[in-house]
Amino acid sequence: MIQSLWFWLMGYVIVKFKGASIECLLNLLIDDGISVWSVERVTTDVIVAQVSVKDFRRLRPLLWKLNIRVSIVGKKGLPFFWQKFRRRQFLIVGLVIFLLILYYLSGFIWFIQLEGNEEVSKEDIFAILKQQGLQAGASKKDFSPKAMETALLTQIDQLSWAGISFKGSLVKVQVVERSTPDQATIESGDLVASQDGLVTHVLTFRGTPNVQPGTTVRKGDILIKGNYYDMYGRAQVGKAEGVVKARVWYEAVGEAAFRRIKQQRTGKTHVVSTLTIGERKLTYNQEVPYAKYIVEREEFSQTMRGYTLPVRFTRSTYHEVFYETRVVPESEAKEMAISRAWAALAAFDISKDMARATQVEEIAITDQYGIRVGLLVEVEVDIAAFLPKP
Amino acid sequence: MAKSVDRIIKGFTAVMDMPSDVLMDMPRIRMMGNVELVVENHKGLLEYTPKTIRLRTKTGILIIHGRRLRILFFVKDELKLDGHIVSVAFSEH
Repeated sequence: MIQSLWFWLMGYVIVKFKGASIECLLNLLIDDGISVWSVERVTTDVIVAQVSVKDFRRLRPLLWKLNIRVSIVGKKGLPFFWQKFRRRQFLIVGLVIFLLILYYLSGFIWFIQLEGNEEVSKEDIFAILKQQGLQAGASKKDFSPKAMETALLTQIDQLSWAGISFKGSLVKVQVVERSTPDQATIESGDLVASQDGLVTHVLTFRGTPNVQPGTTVRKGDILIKGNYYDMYGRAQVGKAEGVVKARVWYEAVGEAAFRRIKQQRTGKTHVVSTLTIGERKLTYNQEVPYAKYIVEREEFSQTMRGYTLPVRFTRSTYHEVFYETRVVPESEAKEMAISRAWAALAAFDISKDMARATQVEEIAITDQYGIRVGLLVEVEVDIAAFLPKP
Repeated sequence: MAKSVDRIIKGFTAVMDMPSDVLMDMPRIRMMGNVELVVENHKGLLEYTPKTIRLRTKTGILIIHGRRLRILFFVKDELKLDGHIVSVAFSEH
């Protein structure tokens, strides 16, 4: 391997020997200290071999004696390569020019990469960078990253750190935004009762509980205080957090009548037809012979390509009706009243399956046409409400 | 005369436990499988064709038969060849 590299450096030729006793020639060559390699017999009187350039010059005198003809098939190695190269001087000149251009262009900024901004807009940062002279196409020597970092930090308040680094023709701008502290840690205050009730469960996440299960509380009473002692025994003032479940009562009233009036059709109908042409109306059968009726109106008109024709036909059907008064049984009326009371409670987000206990109370009404019920529902809800300290 | 000198050298190398190719000018033949062969201390190439290579050595003529034989390297007292070697033999003539 090293030897073949050496041969390549010194240069060698591929030669073709043509003659009868080439073995004799090879023996003569090595006796003279000429080394040959890659010897290959092509035909009976032709052998191709490789000889170094230096040895090739010594070859000729030996060939005279043996009547062997020699010719060069190929030239390999650095000297020949160099010779070829020298003929193409402009290639080298071009290569040098190319390298110079590459070096010159690498002195400019081609790309700017921005990382780390979330709240601050890209445009704002780039505007400041541009103001400082950093933009695609600017020369790298002209500015200092330090001044630019300072400019970014002083001009944009939300940034807490800025770093500018070069990677060839790429400028990497990294920023870190100031994170605003969590509101919960700033706020302080207590949890107070949002309504009257009997406390059943107290679960404190932060703060000192002021009530126990069994305590009756009124609206506005403090349930969990924001002041507490932390794990190191230091007094802290913070935002009380927790769940305080309490039994609370809701009242609602529902009413229902004993009579129900129902509209019914007699089955008689009367049809009035109207033909409208522009502003003119032609009506057939205009007189309605009923005192109480409902009307069903059908209209026929033709629309062509979004343009309504001025001719319209209307058919009104008059149904004669009468009103029937039905007596509602008391049990049905009561049920109706209770369901109306539940519907009223739905406004407070109370549903039937939440109720722990319900109590229905009949309230007497002076007139005999209806029923009124009072509904008392006991539910267990979280009554804790946060009251921030001023 | 020459034979007796040889015998003395042979005996000497046996007693001294020395490699005989150094003193006795014997060919040293190294083969790698049947694809490569190196002969050191040869005394000249007698014949080269892709099927046969004949080399003169101190101990007789070394005949190598094979297919597609090629001389990779040929210098004074060393020859390296490759190809598909079938047989290596010595002959007195």
